[in-house]
Amino acid sequence: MSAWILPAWLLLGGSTLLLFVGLPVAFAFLVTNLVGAWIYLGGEAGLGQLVRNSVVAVTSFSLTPIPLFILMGEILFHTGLAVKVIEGVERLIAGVPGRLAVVAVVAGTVFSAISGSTIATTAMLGSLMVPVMLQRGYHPTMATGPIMAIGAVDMLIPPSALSVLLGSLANISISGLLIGGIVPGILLSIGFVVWIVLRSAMNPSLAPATEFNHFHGWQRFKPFFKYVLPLLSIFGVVVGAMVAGWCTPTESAALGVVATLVIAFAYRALSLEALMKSLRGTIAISGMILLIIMGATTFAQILTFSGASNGIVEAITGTGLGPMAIIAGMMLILIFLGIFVDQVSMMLITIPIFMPIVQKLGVDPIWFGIMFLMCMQMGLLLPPHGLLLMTMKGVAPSSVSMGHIFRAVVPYVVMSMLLLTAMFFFPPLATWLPGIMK
Amino acid sequence: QEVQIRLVTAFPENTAFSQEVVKWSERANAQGKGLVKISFIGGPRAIPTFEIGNAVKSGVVDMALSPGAFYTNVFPEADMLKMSQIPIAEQRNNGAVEYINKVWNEKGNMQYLARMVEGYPFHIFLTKKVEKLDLTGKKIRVSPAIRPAVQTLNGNVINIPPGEIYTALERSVIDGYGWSVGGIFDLNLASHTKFRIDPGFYDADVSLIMNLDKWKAMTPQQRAFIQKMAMEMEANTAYWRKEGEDEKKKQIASGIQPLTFSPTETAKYLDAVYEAGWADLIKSSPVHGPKLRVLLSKKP
Amino acid sequence: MSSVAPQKAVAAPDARHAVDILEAAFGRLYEFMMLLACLLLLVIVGSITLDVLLRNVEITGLPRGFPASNDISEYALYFCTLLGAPWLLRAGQHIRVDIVLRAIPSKLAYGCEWLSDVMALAGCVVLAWMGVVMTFKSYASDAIQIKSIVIPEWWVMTPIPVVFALLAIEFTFRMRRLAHGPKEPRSDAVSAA
Ligand code: NA
Ligand code: NA
Repeated sequence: MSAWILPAWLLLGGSTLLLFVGLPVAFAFLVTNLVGAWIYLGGEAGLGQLVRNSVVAVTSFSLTPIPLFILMGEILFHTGLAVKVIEGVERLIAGVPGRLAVVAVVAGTVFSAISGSTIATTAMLGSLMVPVMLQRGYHPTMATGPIMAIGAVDMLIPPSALSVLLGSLANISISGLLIGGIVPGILLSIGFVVWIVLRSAMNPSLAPATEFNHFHGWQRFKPFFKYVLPLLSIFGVVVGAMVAGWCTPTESAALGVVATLVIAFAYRALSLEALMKSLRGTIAISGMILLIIMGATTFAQILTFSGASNGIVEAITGTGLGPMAIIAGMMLILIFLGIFVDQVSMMLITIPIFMPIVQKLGVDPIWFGIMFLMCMQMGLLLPPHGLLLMTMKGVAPSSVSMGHIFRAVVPYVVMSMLLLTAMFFFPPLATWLPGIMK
Repeated sequence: QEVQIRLVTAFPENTAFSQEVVKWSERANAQGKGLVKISFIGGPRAIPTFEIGNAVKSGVVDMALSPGAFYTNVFPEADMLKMSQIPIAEQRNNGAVEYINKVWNEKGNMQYLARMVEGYPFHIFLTKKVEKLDLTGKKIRVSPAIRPAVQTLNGNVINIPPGEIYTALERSVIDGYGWSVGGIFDLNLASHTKFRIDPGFYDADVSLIMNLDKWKAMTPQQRAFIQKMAMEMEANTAYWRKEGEDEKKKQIASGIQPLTFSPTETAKYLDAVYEAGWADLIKSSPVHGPKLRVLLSKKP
Repeated sequence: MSSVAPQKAVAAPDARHAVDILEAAFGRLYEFMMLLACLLLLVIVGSITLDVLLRNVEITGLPRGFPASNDISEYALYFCTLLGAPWLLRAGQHIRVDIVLRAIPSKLAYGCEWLSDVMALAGCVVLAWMGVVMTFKSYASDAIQIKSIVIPEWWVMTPIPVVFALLAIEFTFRMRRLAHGPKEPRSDAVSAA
């Protein structure tokens, strides 16, 4: 038996076991790390080094966009600007089959460009729009499916805290991942709209065309120009500042926060209460993610120290499989993991093993990273444990059953799967935009 | 009895520095069979770069390849190695290495084994030409090691992580950066660099250090063997001097122009840069600083 | 989780018992730490924005750029992480994977809850203790951190033992709540963003 097999079982097996026994993710890593540091870094000195490495792990400028991106979304949702976005989009869209579902996807895409939180997007759209759609006779699958699907896309379109985390943990260009997420995100969003329109046209009982308040002339466009466009300009600030020559990804995130605050203030929507709620919500989410990063970063170091990382990498690259087969295998593992565990844990479990392999195979890390994000995006939607399914169940009226929700996501998961496959065989889908922006 | 030695490097595993020390450890293992066994653990993905000094001090690793700049958090004198203006061979004769080891033993629980790299200075790289040796109004990315030098030339220092320098350059967030003569191709910085100020200053002091307890626990025979191998590494510093020169040729080939100035201006610039560096170091180490300055500086 | 969902987990329990009073007092401490973290978040936004502004707009009398913003953000991010941790544990917001706990009999799952709390408590105690040792070592050796700003290293080390001690205390409160609660798995948060 090779020397790396025992530490691999102890560390990877041990942390997985602790995860499933119900330890919070951060503490599962923490406990594994203590045992691993004692054995592989060497007794008390090893534990001491573990403490120091933990400090270093989150004292990091490149992780700073995580709270900043989350804060942007929190401000959007707590100041009530999100509701204005939905209104603005709703007045614009008329005369299409499945109109409200289309409105949800378009408004969700606008949210995606300001918020970095898939769950907040799903919860916000779900609680505001699903009751209305049901009331107008929409089938529960047509009312919930598009919202969950577009909620997941939030993760691909910048700002995205998870893209930053992936870039930072996997050492992939953060701006590359953020910009690379735009094309697949928009393609999915367009695909969803096309699907909704076709499906509703073929079967109008799914989304009956009902009366709604028609606005004409300026009244129709006013909320769009008043709220949607200015808010979309925040997206312009974040991405534009990166591209146009003012600052680095971290700095553009800070500017994004300032822009969101300024706009919220200009609309007189920024009360002290809304600000405090946004800040607290941000600390709650990012504090949780960062504590996990603290544990996971040191976990990867111990895994390297024990020889397990190199051993596994050698074993996999030594199988004689081609790079494409190995990458496909990694994607399947990610999709499988996505069924059971959350996005942060998915990254933490796989990155220490996957990235050295990716390096050794010499494949384009941006391409790999975007496909990684797409797998995580799908994981949000996969039954029975997808997080956005749970979120939707939580906010939708009780007439919507879990069975409806499971069936509702199927077409959108299939579309994501198709796009992932297309990207696998045609990498420019991921790499073209980051490439021309270089 | 074979002694097991765990080796880490402060540089990623695919860099020339790391690859050289891995080859060195393989030679040591081959020649010292039955005496020593050096196992290479890895680069920063095993021990974070700025934790390398502490890991050696506490014995989490036995041996490390690192410049002093990465372990100033253990003792500030570590950063003085970069100031040496005389070759390491001369430092062995004039008592400098002896003094270094006294400080490294006492404050870092480390044995200073060998200097791997010499003649590999820092340069200031720019996107726009300067007419004199003055960086007023220029935004320059620095590491703490060369911050005083850039400040004394009136540059505005900016501190951004290595991974973001490329973006910062291409977006003109910065007008230049300080970097060792080699390495700007690895980070792809060369494509956005137009000029290099010559000559360079300070020196990349990449060295081999060892945990003192481990060093003392070895038999005299083992110590002698490690020291012999270390001297072999040190005898090879000319290799890096040549690497530095080759790197400059490569830079010229890729369109980076050297900017040179009159001898008086150059001398004034070097004096200012060394004076600023030492002033900063002596402030944090008033006892050892002046002594090491005498031992490491060129005789007037 | 999402902050859009109601956050009422840090409500004060009935002050019937001395331990309840103590638990509520710690809850207020966590609230205070949370408030500090919120302020630090604003500091991050402010210092980075100031840096970008000064670098791109020349304001007479002010330097071009604010190089310390980098270090300020890094340290603030680290402090935010630790300051929020005890509050999150009280609120059940440190995400976990409960798919197995939901699948097995609830008595067994309840046992797993105890097992995981005990392990986490032990881990926090060890880390808090090692934190004390390492902070003291750093203090005794006068270690300093030299970046754009120079500070004694022990300033950065100190929050580790403090926060992990608080987390250990909170895990004991958490176990007490488990003992008094229903014999089934808890409904802690299971998702991130
Ligand atoms: Na987004
Ligand atoms: Na997101």
